[in-house]
Amino acid sequence: MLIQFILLFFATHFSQKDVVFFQSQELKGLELTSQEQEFVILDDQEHEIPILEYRDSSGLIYWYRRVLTPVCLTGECLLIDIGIYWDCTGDFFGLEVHGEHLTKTDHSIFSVKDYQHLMGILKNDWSVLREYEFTNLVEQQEGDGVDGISGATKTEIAMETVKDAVYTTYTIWHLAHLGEKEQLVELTANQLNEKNLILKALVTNKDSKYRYFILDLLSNGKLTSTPELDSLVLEGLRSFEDPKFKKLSYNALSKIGLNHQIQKSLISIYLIASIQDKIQILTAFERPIKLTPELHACFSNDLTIDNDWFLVKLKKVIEAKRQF
Amino acid sequence: MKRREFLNLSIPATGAILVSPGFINYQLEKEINAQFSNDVAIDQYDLVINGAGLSGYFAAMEAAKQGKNVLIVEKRTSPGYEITAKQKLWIGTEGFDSLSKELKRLLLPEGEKDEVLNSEGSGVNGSQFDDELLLFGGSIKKGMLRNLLQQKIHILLMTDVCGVLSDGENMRGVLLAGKHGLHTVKCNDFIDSSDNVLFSRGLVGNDYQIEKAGFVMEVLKVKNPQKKEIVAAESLGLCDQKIQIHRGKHLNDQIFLEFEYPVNSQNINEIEHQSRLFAAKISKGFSGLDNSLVEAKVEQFALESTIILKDNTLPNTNLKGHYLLANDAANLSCEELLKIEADAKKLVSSIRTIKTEGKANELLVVGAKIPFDQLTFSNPDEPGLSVPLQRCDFDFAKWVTNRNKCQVLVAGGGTAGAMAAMGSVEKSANTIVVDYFNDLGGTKTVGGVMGYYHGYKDHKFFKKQNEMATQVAYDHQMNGNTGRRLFHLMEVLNGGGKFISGAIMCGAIVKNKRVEGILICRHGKLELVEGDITIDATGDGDLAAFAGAIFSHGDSRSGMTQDYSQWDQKGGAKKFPSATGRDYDIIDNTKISELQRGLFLSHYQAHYYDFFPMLTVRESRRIEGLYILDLIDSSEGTHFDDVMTLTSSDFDPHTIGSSEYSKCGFLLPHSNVVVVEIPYRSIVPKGLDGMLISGRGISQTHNALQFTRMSADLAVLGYLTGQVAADQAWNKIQPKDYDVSALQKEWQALGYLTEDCMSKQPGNLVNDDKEITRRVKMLSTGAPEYLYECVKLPKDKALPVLKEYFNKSDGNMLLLAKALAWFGEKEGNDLIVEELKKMYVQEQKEGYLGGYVDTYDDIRGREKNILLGLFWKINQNIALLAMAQNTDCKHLIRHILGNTESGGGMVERENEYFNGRIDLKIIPNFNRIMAICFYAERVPNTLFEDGFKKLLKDKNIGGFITQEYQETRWRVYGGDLELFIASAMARCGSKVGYDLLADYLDDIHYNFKDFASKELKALTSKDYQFDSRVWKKQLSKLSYPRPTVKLVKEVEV
Repeated sequence: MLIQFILLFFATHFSQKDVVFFQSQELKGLELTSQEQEFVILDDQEHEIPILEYRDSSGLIYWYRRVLTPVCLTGECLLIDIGIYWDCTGDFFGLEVHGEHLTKTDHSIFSVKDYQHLMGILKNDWSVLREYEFTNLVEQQEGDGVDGISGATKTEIAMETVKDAVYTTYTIWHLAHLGEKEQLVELTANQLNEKNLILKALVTNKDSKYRYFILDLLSNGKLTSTPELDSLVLEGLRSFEDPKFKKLSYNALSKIGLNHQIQKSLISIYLIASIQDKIQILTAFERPIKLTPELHACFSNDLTIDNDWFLVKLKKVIEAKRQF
Repeated sequence: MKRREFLNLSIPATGAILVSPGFINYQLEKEINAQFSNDVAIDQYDLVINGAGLSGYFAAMEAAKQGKNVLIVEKRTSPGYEITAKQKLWIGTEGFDSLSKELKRLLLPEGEKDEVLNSEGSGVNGSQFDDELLLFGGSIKKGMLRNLLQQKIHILLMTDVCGVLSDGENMRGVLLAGKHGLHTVKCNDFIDSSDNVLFSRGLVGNDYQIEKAGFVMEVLKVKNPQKKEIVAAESLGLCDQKIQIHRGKHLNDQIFLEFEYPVNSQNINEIEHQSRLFAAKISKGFSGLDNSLVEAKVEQFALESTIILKDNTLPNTNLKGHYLLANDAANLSCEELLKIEADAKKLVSSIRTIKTEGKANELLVVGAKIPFDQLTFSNPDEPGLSVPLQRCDFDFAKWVTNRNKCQVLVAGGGTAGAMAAMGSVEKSANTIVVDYFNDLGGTKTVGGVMGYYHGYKDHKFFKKQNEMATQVAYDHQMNGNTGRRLFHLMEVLNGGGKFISGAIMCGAIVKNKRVEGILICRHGKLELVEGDITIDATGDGDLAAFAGAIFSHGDSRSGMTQDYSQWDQKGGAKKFPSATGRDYDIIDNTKISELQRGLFLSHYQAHYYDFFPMLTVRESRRIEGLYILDLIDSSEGTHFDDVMTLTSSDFDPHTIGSSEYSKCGFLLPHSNVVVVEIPYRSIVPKGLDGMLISGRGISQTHNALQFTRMSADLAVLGYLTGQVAADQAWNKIQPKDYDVSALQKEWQALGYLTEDCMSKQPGNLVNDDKEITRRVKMLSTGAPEYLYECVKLPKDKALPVLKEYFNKSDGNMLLLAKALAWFGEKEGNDLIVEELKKMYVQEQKEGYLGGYVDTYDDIRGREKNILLGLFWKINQNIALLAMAQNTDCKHLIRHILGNTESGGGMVERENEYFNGRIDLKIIPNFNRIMAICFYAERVPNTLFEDGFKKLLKDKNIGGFITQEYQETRWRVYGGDLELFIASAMARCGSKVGYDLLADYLDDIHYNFKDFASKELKALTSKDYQFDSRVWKKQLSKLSYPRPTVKLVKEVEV
């Protein structure tokens, strides 16, 4: 019955003018262009759900899902019609409400304040809602069922839900945060490997979050090395003012091609590196890669360092004598 | 033995549901407890068997039937390793009709039927699929253990044989390795039926070669799983390029994938890793492998690989009484099973023990012969344990020749340890992490507790590691648990670290109070792992304790800890016969007997499909460090200059709370969520160099632990500890001399430590005069939540201010009087007494309305810490009068005591979850009686004897010595109550109290015995330890009533 209702809703509703009743602040003023291509990810029940790709003017990817889903609360099931946006890293980005405003148990609609509160909750990817089952959100009362008249929202949950809209909050939070991120990351990685322009957009973006994301993908083997990525890693190795950038770049070092030019750049980095960072550079050369004579000499100078653990590593690399 | 009937008591709802599986009745309880109740007075065994696989099991059963005393030792947490640990849950049907009834019952027990949800099977329990009979791992583990116990065979799980005692010619005993150290046990004969008899092969110098290895993984969501074999790509490198498929009977879409591969290492450790990496490669390519696997998900890996030797001929042994039993069950069928049974029986029947004179004079371990004069023996502190063990020590560094060296050694690869290894390899240190299991992750993986309850989840690293583990799971089509195991393994190996798996950590190498490494046992072989810095991440403080660290355990009065759990596998089933997560008894897992009892108990109560191998213990040793984190630090937000990380939780002791703060109604379970700073000094053990502690065993009080033990926080703390250790190793600095500030800056830059946190003033406000005045002033205005705020203040500073306000007589005198009473003052006590009288009269009229704190799970998330409800307010007043040592109210207390009774059986909770928790299974007046005990032990008086005597006659209160009744799991808080009554009575001079304490020396719980023993010692100034016979004899000579003995103890912070 519910499915029929949903189908009927889709048929009639989407054919009408698609009015947006709420749009989160982040989406306002952002010019998103649809890439007219549909992708697919799986939901909790392993059902395929369509995902659309949007890009902003700088070329950043946003993933979008239109969801029409029932929320059962006070003995009846209401449909909510929303659009969820994630950024290219799979983090929740924004929300649109279509069809009609979100409503509460007393059938009143969400106020501006309610929407603000909802957005605050949705931005928290580790909300307390993560650990709760749908059926455990309220104090149980005699005769309670999911669709029955509910008891009071549990105190510890109340702070992280919109008042009188616990199930709606819970449903949207779970749609936005559980199970999607890792799939969206995969989609982004595929796009980055195919389209160099998008990669460039991320590398050059002033928000360092995107650089970190790319370096993570590179470390995990999800991106193939490119000159842009090699440069990014080298930049990161020198980035003493941004330890996270530096750390991720060291993690990614073993994934980039260590050609003659890069080895040349590495000499200056190696010379001022801490002993721990030196170990990471040496580890990158445990692959079957030939050393340039210059880098070999640079490494060899450290044979005088008084640390057995370091020397074990160093000798392993040097004694391989794989010089250009 | 007396048998009590408890028909009048309410049986917990889950207990009733668990009739099948796992209802523990009197008979079953007796089976479990027999080994820990001094049941048999033996000095040595006729036969010790190494390995409770099929052949060892059959041999033990046969020997027991022949009347022999048998000990079977199994290094895993359950018996039946060929089937269970290797997850080979199928056997060929040929020969099924020839199986005995007992064997059929073992393989296919009646109780498992409810969990066989695959509708496509036929035969017994719907378990036959073509030519295979499908098994449940849980059924086999439960059945084998119970059958062994029923035959009164002694069993030690998580224990491995690593040496033999000899007189040069004959077998005289064996050396056992366990998490509690090395122990010897004497025996006439010894059968090695361990996996491939690797121990004996090592001992006699048999140079075996591993040819290939096999591995199994359970997979769900398989579409139309009809194939029996899949051809894999040649590049995968599997034997014959094939992956075999076996159905599962739990669900229609469940299969087991089995594959073999030629090994490129003779190191079993590396083979275990290789198996998992092969499994990951296969699952990552599911969609290309077969259409049926496109949406499939790996549910779990086998616990271990199958090792196949090039030549499995058994070697010759050198000692009389040393026997070997083959256990080649690579392709098990019913016929093969019968053959294994026949071979085992034949061997046992052939053993003709010739008892010769002579004593052991040497210890043989793999690679060394150690003369007896190099060994030191001592008796372990294991009252009640029937296994006649002797602690054995020797100079490990001198005699153990197998060595591994590293910069950072992480002992224990659980929640904190796996992350410590990750932190260390990230800092480029040469790192080895050692764990008992073959998978890293501990509680979160092999314990199955995947959720995060509380914790400081805003921590950036916490979020990051969760994302990474989730991504690995997704990329490899695995569930979150298996994906997390793979994530940990990859992080360590890809970072250049080493994971020594399947290792029992059984000793520490210490020189001049510097920890240099640990002793481990793998496959019967002792090895040393040496590290520049050792992190004890065992969670139990095992290594620190071996090294001689100072530690505490449980609460400061009775040593009680939180309960432990062992969780069932859920598989993909939507519904199980009952809840799959259970908590069990209170155990002290630093004791051999308690660990074994815990394992036995959960085997009996688990479901049949399968259960996780690890006991998840919430509380164990707390190692004393350079700083001891306490309640005041936790609840007052103390800032430390050397802060490493933040933890967050409400107060969650899984019971009401045991300290004075809780008894007086201030520190309530699930009271306000706090954020606690962990200082670096609390991970540095006092008096030891070369070691750091990570995980729940850090330096803190029992109260503080309740705020800091959340797995999200332990994971972060572990990671940071690994980084600290790496830094210390690179810079060759001892932990006690280390300055953590450089790393703090790095963590701050990474967002791990916030600006807010780092800019705080060190310390807290409890010593601030203005703050003290503010709190007292607020209290005087009648704000009850300030009572808790005032009692946390230092006495010397708070008392003058409280007195000043009290003497002004212009505020809420009663609240001020309560605060004064807390600090031991009698001023204002009359107000408390007056209120107590009024409230008690009211309660008498209204009856017991339910205890506000007693149903503490319902009071989460309150904004203010205010005590509500008449019942607990009365308890609070009684406890505060005790704190004030008020003797004037003794008649009132006597009156209340005289009118107090149990209130009925255990309170039924509102749903299955709460009903299944032992911490909530208490009688209605449990906490009232505890409050009266609290008074009587601090203000003892013979006046109270009659009232307590009356209580003990109440069928719901007296007679709870736990080896004498059913359902230990459910009665532990009954025993706790009776024991506290005993202590209070004894302090009041009553003979009944003394006698009852002596009775509790024979209780099954170690902490009860220990509490009883310590109380008797304090009351009599004698020490007969746990010997109830001697105690009773001595106590009978005393005259009663004895002089009262006031309990004097510091407030537990």
